Amino acid sequence: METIYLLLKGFSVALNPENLLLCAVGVITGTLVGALPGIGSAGACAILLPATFKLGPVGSLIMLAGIFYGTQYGGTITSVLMNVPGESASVVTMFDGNPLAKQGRAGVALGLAAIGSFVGGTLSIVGLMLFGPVLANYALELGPAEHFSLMVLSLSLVCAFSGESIVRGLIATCFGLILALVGQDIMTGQPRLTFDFQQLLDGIEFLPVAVGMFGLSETIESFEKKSSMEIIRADLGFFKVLPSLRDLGQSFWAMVRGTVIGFLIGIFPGAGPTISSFISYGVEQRISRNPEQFGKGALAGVAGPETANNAATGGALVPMLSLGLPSSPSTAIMLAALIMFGLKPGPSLFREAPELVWGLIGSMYIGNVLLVIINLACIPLIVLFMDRIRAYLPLAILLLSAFGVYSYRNSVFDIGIMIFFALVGYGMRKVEFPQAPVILGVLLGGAAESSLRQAMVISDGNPSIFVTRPLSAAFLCLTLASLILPPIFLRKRPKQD
Amino acid sequence: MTKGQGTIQLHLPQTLTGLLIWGIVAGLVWFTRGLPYMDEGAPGPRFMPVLLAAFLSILNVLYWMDVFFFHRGGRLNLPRASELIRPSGFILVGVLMILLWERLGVVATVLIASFVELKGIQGYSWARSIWIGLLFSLSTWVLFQLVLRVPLPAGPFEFLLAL
Repeated sequence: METIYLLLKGFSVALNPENLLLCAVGVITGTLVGALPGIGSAGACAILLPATFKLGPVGSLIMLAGIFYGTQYGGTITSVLMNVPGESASVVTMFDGNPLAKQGRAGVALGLAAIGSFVGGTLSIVGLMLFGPVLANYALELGPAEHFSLMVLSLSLVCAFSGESIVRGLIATCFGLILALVGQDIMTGQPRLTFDFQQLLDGIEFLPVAVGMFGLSETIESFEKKSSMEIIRADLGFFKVLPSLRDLGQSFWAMVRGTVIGFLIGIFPGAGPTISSFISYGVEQRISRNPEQFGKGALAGVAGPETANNAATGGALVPMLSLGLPSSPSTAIMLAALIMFGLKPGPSLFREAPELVWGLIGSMYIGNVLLVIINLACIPLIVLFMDRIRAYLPLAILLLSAFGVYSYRNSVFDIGIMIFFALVGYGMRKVEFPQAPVILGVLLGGAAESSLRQAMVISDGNPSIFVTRPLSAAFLCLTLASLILPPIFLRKRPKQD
Repeated sequence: MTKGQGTIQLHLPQTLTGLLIWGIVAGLVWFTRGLPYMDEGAPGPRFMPVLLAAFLSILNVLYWMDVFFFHRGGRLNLPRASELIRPSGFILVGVLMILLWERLGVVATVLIASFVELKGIQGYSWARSIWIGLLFSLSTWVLFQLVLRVPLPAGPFEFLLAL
């Protein structure tokens, strides 16, 4: 009963005209960003985060979340029509979406993807409503030792899921944690690794690092080769993208399975929309009566993964809101927004800022309705927009990034930091190091060090506190498992196949 | 160096990456040497840097083992020198913006940076580059200075703001 009351309160916040407008701006931006190859949701959230400072925490979070789940809708358009994924989570959609477009069924593929995305996105918010507060209540009991172990677990999970090599993921995590060390020491106030730069006394700001690594490094890479992308021309009017009842019937169970898979996988740090879409595709192919159809235009191959990647966005917000742990770079940026507004993300957020949490949840319901309408009715407009703006996108990204980063502290030094980390991010891409762990390391580094040192103060400098407290020990065991098990499974898999 | 199908491979990018990581490890230890490791029985400001340096050393050894002994991640999709011209140009536009930002003010900076990017890197015509540059410089000024109320530097055009 209390949940319904809080949800109604959330709707009253979300339906405030200003928040409604911000939600619409967020989801439209997200759809366009998702449709444009070369910039992902994390990059877009990072670039637009400074522009949301004037909006207050509720408006800012509503807009950033709109971008986050909106990108999952938009990414489908390029996957189906151009065979180029707008977002990494839409890679799988290409496998069957593009063959469907070549068969003259582009509208059906896009329509099914939009409806699947709506189902997955909406049901995952129900999951967020049910699990978020419960998890937050449990999390209130955690002490510094448990907090530290939980952060170590979440960082290790990000490494386990973020690339082919866990070692490279862990090195990237350490790099992020090292960046978080820069600045005045949290307990003694002594300057650390500041190299006599006054600007570094407050530490390396998260924003320039995130914008450089996610917004600009992708753009720099896109300059390497001139790409020629061809759009499949199709009639994409409203009635052409509405799937028939038969198509919907064929895809119904794929959507249900996609929702469950997406939500559960989305909760795990590092897994997120991309992995959930791949797993959903694998499941659909394995249980299909016609697996040979996959790759040639199977409807379930579009509906399942598209539902899963949207359901994962709701799942990803569970640890962010209830534990204060980001599960992806995009949620890390939302978390950074909360911190910048002076809020303390974590279990107390549900009690201390209910209008923010429930306003966000309410706006997500509204946003998903807006998205399904936009994605069914405005595809021709989106395609036209993509065609026109693509040439100027790198310049627009550079300018928005520079203005956004500057406006945070009015510091040109931060623009320099952004360019530096764009180069670092580009280099990391080239030597195949994942960037997501760096971002999470920067964000969690300060809190992790603080929890570690608080726990050691409680135990008089005895590190056994991390293994003698049961919950902390359990988190550390899971950390070890997350690092050891994936390579073992990966080594076994070729033998089985 | 690794033996790959009868030839010995140097894996230069990975070797350099590993050396860079050793440099970071050494830097962490060296530049925090003046800070206390423990402070009244609890970890001090140097505790975390040294802990991370130790972890990073172990991971770097594993990284090189991965590349040189287990041949994982040995083949990188690196760009050729000719493919680096446009990305370098884009980065230089960013550096140019930093240099001009406060000296010329943002309107002039954006105009110049946009022109250099569109004409020099993308190869558009003079007229189009100037038009689009003007559009970008005015729209960013309106959005950030007037709508979002971010105090942007105007450089030598400061007097125009007072009018």
